[in-house]
Amino acid sequence: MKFRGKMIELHSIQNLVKVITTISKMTKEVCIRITPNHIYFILNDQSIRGGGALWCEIDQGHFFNEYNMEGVSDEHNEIYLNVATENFLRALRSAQNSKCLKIKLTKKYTTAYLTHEVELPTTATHVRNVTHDVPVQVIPRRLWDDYQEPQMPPYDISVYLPNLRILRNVLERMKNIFTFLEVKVNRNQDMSLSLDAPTVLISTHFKDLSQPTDTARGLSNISEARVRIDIRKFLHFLTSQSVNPMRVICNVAHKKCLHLFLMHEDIALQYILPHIAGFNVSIKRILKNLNLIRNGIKVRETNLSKGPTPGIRRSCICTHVRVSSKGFHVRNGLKLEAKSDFHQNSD
Amino acid sequence: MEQSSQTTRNRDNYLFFAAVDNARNISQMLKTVNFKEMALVVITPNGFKVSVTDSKCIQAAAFIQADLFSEFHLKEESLSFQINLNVLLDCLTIFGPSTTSGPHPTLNMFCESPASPLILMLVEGGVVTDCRINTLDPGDNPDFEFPPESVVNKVIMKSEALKDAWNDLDFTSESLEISISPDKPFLRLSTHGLAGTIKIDFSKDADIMECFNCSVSQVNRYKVSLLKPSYRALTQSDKFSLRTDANGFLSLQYLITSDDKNHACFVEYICTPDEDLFAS
Repeated sequence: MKFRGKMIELHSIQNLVKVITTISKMTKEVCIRITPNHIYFILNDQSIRGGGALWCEIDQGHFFNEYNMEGVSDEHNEIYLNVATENFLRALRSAQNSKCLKIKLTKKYTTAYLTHEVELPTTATHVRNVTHDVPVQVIPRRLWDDYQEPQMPPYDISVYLPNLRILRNVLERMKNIFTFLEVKVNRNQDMSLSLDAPTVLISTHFKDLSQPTDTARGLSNISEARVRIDIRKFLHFLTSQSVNPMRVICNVAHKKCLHLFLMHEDIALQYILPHIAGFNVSIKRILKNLNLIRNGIKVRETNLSKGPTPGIRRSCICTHVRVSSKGFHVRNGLKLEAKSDFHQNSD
Repeated sequence: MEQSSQTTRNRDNYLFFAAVDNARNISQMLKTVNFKEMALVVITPNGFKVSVTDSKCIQAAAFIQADLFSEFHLKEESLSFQINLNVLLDCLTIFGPSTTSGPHPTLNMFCESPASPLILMLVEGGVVTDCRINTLDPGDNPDFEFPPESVVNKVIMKSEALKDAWNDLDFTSESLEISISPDKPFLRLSTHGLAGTIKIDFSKDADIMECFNCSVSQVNRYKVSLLKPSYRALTQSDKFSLRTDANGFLSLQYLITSDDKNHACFVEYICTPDEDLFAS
């Protein structure tokens, strides 16, 4: 098993740093797969940590001036390594302004390292060299199957994402308010991001987005696809704005996942965010139930007649809300109770 | 745009409606009083007032006059509610902290009834954001009053001078002492902190001093922790007035001009003197 790569173009080194910065936001540990033509960064997060998957592919020819590798065997000419993204990023950062960066797979005693040899520019004739040894774990052949390209469930609608800067600003604010957000796209090329927090309902609408040309790719006939995701994870992906992608495609599989596909001359990055199911309890129903036991719980009748949202304000002085798989249970200090069953968000 | 035509059509249904060309004018003002989560909003035909009270000892209020808005309609005499100021600010700056130049969002604000949520509609570059912020009953917040007839001492200064002085003060000190006298040293700010005592004097003849009316010599102490948030207002203001009444209540009024330099708005901080220290 051998690997050695040399980069001398500042532009490519900086691009690599940007890619790794983005990846380090998404995950603490990443798998590096080295093949004769490409380097892949793979994350295949299992459901314990909320799912999500990352698949980033870079063409070695666009980054490395010299590139030699030898896989585990002739038949399987590949190398799979596990690395802590933080360490990897730290080593690369020191190379940000360097003249030359060499990355080598080395073995010292029993540990394998990715050794980064950085040649820093100097005004004098002396050369300054910095070497970082980043510990890596070699992934044995039998586990390679865990790191194959993620299977994308058939998606319903796909659009190009709007201006990433605006999108990022909007999500930054939304993150301050709540954890989850619903992404909605429809066949009229509109996309909306909505957030339903106890204090506020926000929805941002982007109109007339362009759609990938081969529209046949959308498989189903539904006119609107929705997916509920973690805002922070979406934001982590958007740090990739710094690599100046040409286009970012957003594929939505209704209530399954959000697939983001970043396209750049040298980089292709895919990120899959799983749908997080949330029960949408009708507020009206809660209030009706509370109304039955109104003495002790303050619910204004005027609000009730006005439909769902106005009612939630100054709603009640309940001290317990217990949520089970079947429904919820509200109890106030006087031990008056209200119950309601969940009903799934109607489609 | 579908939404906007809808709201235009229903404009008469709203108890309160206001429009402003640049949402930054509003968010900038609200930032100066954003030191507590909940704020009381009082809307009258004269304008929009947002006040924040901490420990019943300090009240900060930002007044946004009705003429800052391009449209301002209120059907009743007044409308008041409590709102989460952090959420309101996040909504107003949803397209990012806009810079003085460059694109800025336009804002429409609606309120259907005293009990309904405050609706904001922001538009920037074709992107529309709707926000429905739930509000709370106004409650019984103490309203700090500072009638002009009770003022005993009044100083008007350029903010620039106080900004420098403020950075020189020692905030390890628990309180800030403000002394005003008709003779030397006129206006003195002092702190007694771990590093020693710092005194800063302002002469009444200095260029930065626009007005100095002192009828009674006064020495009062104020909690530094309470006054600290007022620095946000100070940095944005052009000039400010410092007034005290006979009981030592302090009113700091900051004059803030909007980005387009056409409108002046006020932020007022009213602070109670530190009684314990005063008695000892």
